[in-house]
Amino acid sequence: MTATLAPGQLSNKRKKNAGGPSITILAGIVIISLVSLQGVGLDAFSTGNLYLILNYLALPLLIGMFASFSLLAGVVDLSIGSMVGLSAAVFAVLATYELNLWLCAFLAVLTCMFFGCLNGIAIVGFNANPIAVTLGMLVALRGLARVVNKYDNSETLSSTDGTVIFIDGLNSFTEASFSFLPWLFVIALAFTLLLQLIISKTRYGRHIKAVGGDLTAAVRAGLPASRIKFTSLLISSGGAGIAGVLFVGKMGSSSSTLGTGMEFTVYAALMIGGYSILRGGVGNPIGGFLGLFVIAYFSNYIDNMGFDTRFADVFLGTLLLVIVYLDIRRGGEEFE
Amino acid sequence: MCILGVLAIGQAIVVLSGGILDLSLAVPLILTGCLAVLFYDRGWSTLPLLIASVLLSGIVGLINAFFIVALKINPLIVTLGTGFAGGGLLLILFDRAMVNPESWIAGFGTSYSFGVPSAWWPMVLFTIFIHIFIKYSRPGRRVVAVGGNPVAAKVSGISLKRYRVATFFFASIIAGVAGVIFAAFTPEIRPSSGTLYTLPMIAAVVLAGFSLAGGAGNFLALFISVGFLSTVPTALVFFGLESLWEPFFQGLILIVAVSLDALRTKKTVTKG
Repeated sequence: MTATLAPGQLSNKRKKNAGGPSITILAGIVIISLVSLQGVGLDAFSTGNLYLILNYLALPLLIGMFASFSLLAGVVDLSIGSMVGLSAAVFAVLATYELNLWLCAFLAVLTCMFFGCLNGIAIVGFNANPIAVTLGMLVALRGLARVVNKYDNSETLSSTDGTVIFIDGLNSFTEASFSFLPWLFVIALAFTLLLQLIISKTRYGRHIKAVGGDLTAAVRAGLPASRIKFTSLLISSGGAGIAGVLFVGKMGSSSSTLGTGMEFTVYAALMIGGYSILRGGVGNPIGGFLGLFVIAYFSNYIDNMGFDTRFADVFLGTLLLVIVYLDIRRGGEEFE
Repeated sequence: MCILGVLAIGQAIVVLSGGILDLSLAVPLILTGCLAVLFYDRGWSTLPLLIASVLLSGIVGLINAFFIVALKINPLIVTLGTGFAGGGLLLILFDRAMVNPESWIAGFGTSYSFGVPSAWWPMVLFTIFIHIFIKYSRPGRRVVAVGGNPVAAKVSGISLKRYRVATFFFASIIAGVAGVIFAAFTPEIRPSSGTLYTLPMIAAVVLAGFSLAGGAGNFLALFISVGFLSTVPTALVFFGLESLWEPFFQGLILIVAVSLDALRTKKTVTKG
């Protein structure tokens, strides 16, 4: 893809970053606020509604933050949505066999990391196109999740559509909240801030950015580029695994459609926040959080107005194109 | 096999011309089917109905081309976005489309000509035609040139933009033709069913030896690789696995194919 551009050519084309994504995000929040004030009324700003938004936001935020490692390293992982579904299926099915829950969760996350490892071998080892590889993984794991869901132990429900398992302790953990702040959201936000520190202040963070930003330069500077890319893929798959387990706690089941399209939402959000799925080394976690907030806010508006949720797909698809165009305007890579 | 075979030709043209991949081909596929049903219910006769619905599905390709050529967005992102948005729009516009069993299209799906199902012939004819077109005609060879080395192609006076627009438009049209065959086999078209084809057609193209970098590939090999992929469901039954496993193996085949493709390109690069 990058064959037509010499490495030095990019920096000449880079234009002034006019305020970066923060302006776009702020404008987005203001517009949605005005629209929902007109449509929903003052209820849109109540703490109850805020709780709904944050509750919806918590797990995608966690997934997005783990996945942002691979975006920064320049290897996009499209299979995270399917990994969430697979991890939920493995965890729920193992739990129906009444194994130790910690062991179940560990095995579920391990399964995801195994497939993350396969992604790594194909992308780093064989130098294959990350989008094509992880697209294949997306479909493969979606199928595998359906297969796994079939092997649950329950006799109460038709097992083709998912596995029903209500885990008391896990559910009360995932649903706990402090006034209008869901704990899960607080944890995810704390993780976001921690990540912000890691990315901007530590050597490891700067290494990831260097590998994603200019691979040739990073390799010449002696950075272990392959290892960094590989680890970032493992981290993103592990994060999706953890989120899958938490989803089971939240919903009391692993539906076979869980995680479908989630990669799209998460990456669209991260791209609003300044990340790019075609070049690494750009973006920061707080921007990603704000991007996700815009999307959660908009979905909340659609829910409150009782609109057809399918409009959200159309909106997201269009939004993605607009965002990438803006990314090009502020110095992103042009096609030809 | 015949739906996948036609779709793969459209995808292969995009890959060959260096357009990376078209992830939105499921949209023209379904759009044509739905439009054909709509026009049939309005009482249109067969030929104008087919031509109109196939040509209208080309709009998707033109939209893709606009984003790629005018706004210079990477085709992968463009088609990911239009595929997602288009899928949503199709769901809103057509909840489902029922193909009338009396119509010509439904009859086409069950009829036989020259000893094989009629639906086979579009695939065979398109494969032969495109093979000859790409190999021996001037525009065909230019498609390969644009894919193989865009800089050299541009320097020698070929308009990259024109070929981008043409290939993405053509891919949509071909997907539209596949949509007609799809409608012939599907009594009830649901917009979500089109996405099932996205992965197998990419797998077929990569497996046939088309380089994702563009400029290399053979359409007769594509025909064989589509045939190979169509044996996967049968092979699963042979090994005693349920059809639920099918997507899993399709995904793995794609990953292996892409990895081998990358390995091969790496080798040629170091050699040259």
